[in-house]
Amino acid sequence: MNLSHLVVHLQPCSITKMPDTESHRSNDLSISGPTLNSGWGRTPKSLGKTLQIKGGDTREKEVELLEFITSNDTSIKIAPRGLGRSYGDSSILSSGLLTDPNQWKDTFDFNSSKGTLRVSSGFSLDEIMRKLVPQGYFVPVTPGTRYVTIGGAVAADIHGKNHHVDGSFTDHTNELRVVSPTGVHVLKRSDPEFKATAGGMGLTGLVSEAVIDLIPISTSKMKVTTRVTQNIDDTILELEENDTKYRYSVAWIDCMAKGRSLGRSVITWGEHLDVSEFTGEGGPCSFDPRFLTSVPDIAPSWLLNRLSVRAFNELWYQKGKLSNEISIESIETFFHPLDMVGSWNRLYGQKGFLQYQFVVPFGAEDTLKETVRLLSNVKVPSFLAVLKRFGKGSGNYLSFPSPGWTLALDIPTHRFGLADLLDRLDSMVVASGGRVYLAKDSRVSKHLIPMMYPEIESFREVAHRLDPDNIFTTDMSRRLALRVDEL
Amino acid sequence: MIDANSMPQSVAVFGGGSEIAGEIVKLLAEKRCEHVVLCGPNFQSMEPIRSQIQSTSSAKVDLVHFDLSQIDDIEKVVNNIFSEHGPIDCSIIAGGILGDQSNDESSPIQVAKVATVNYVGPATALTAIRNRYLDQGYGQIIVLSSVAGERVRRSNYIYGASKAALDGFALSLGESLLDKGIYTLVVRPGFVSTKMTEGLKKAPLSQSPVQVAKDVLKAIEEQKELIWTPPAMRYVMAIYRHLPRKIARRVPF
Repeated sequence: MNLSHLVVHLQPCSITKMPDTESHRSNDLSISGPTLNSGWGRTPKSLGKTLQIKGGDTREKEVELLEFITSNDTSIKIAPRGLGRSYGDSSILSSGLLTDPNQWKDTFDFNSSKGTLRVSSGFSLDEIMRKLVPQGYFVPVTPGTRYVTIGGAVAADIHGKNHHVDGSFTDHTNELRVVSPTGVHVLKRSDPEFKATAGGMGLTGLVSEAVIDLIPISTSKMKVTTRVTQNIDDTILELEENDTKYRYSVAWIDCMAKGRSLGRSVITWGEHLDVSEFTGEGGPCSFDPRFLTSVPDIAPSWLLNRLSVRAFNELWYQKGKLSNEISIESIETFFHPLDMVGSWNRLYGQKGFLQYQFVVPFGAEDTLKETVRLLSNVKVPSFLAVLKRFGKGSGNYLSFPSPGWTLALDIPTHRFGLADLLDRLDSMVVASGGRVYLAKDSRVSKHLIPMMYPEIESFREVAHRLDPDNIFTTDMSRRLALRVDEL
Repeated sequence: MIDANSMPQSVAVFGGGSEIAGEIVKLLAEKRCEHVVLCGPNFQSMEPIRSQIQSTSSAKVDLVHFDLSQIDDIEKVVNNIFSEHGPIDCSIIAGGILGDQSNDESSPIQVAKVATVNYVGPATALTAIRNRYLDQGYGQIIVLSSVAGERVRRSNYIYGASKAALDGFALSLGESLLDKGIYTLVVRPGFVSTKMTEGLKKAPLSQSPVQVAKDVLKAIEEQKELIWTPPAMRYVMAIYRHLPRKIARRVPF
């Protein structure tokens, strides 16, 4: 595409203004809002407008978006947003434009001979699974929710319970189409632009389409092995010894248990059930997950307190103890148990919550144990935390997974002392060569980012090349100075 | 930007000479705050606060001329502050004068001055800040009110009435901004030992600016909308507020 005729004018700095709703209206393009937006943790929040591109297919919309970007002044900022399942401020943009995933749902080309899928970025893993699980194909990587878009999965380079075997999402992504202010780019995995976009938190442009590998399955069931451990040492040992025997592996740690029970866990390992072992009713690949219930937005912030959360964790642990060592579960109960409860983030009340997720390298087990001990000692309630071992990293500049232990836990925010506690954990994590996950972050200090993500300079350079005027940004990017123009 | 623990990265103080605000900013600068704009009429009173902030942090501190009594200029100056120093994550309304009750009682112009600096000016500034925040898409507001406004007393009714007006304005402004994601905290300190109260007899539960600042930081992290400092003052005032007038007027403070 020849873009030489598009001249970009730099505007002098002036008062930040909401983009005008009326002035950018064309037949297929409109701006609505502002609305109050947040990530899944419901804090922080900011007002932003939504950019809608209607009509045509994904290829036509790419051109329309590009024309919109290049025909406006550079003070108009854009943040790609999917289903808003990242916890913090990585999918919101104050006084800017958010994209709407519903407009990016045109391409869905499944190639059954290669087992690949070319798909528009607005499709969610839920939609892909509903279409393809009955045909005997599964997504290469799924996080704890199906409600993430392909765009979000690429931007956060998501991981799942199979990371120690299969790596992260973009390890299975063969091609990306990205709309940046410099044009529509088609990227292969070895391209620097790919390495900046995969895990790049939406800051290199809008991912419009991707080609992903699928994995063949012969049933929609999981063969699950459950083991209960007594304490953190026991948990670490079990995972080290048995992880590699299974494709999927995760430990649910009770972060409120103390003393000799500190770090007690329910470990679940899983494999896709082979059809030869399938005995259930209906087709072996039937897949139709339903909501059990939905949470209304009336939960008070104190609902999840030390007592109620401790009781829940106890129940979970005892249930693990009672369950059979080997059981057959559905995909949704094994991978996405929380998806059965709609809007479960409302359980934390209006003040919201955050997820703290870090990785520390193998060998830093003492740091891991110390963080679990500190978290069990503080006055903040934390639901079951998830512990898992990562395999090798993807080599993308800002991808989170790297070989080591990752711990993730949800904590209600706006509790006195939480900021200091997490800062303390951050310094321990950094000191042992680890990092926090940007897709979960809403509070890390910007000064730690270059230590956590040593390749950020390469990221900044490539992002700047794709988007020299810093059109693509987010509240997170501004907070952490991820783009070079925000330093 | 403001993080999930409500910690701002940039702060503007309107009434930049305020010792209480200075202590709040010092604590914020130990967290995430890296840019401070002190706005006040008198650079000499802001300079020591700037050096104090810079003695404990690497925050950049700018000084801007701003006068709460010049109400015709307030909107323009606020807009300039946002365009030249913005984005401003957190605005602290800290300006005010105590006046001299016994002398001012007979001076219409002095009464007008106290009301202007303590209420009309801050309400004007808050409205301008509100507009900038809605354009900016986010922001937080901290208003230093006073327990003196909770029940206005004979002994300092000129000051008390102005704080009562500001308190009511700020609380309701906060309500109006709730669904916009803009968070407002109203702080009602009791007696604080500062330049403003120098020479006055200390009231019970009196405290230092540092103690007020610590309570404010806790309230910001907990995202409270209204606090008393010290916290016990809330219960003292709850009783005092309900005393019959005949008894209340005999209370010696």
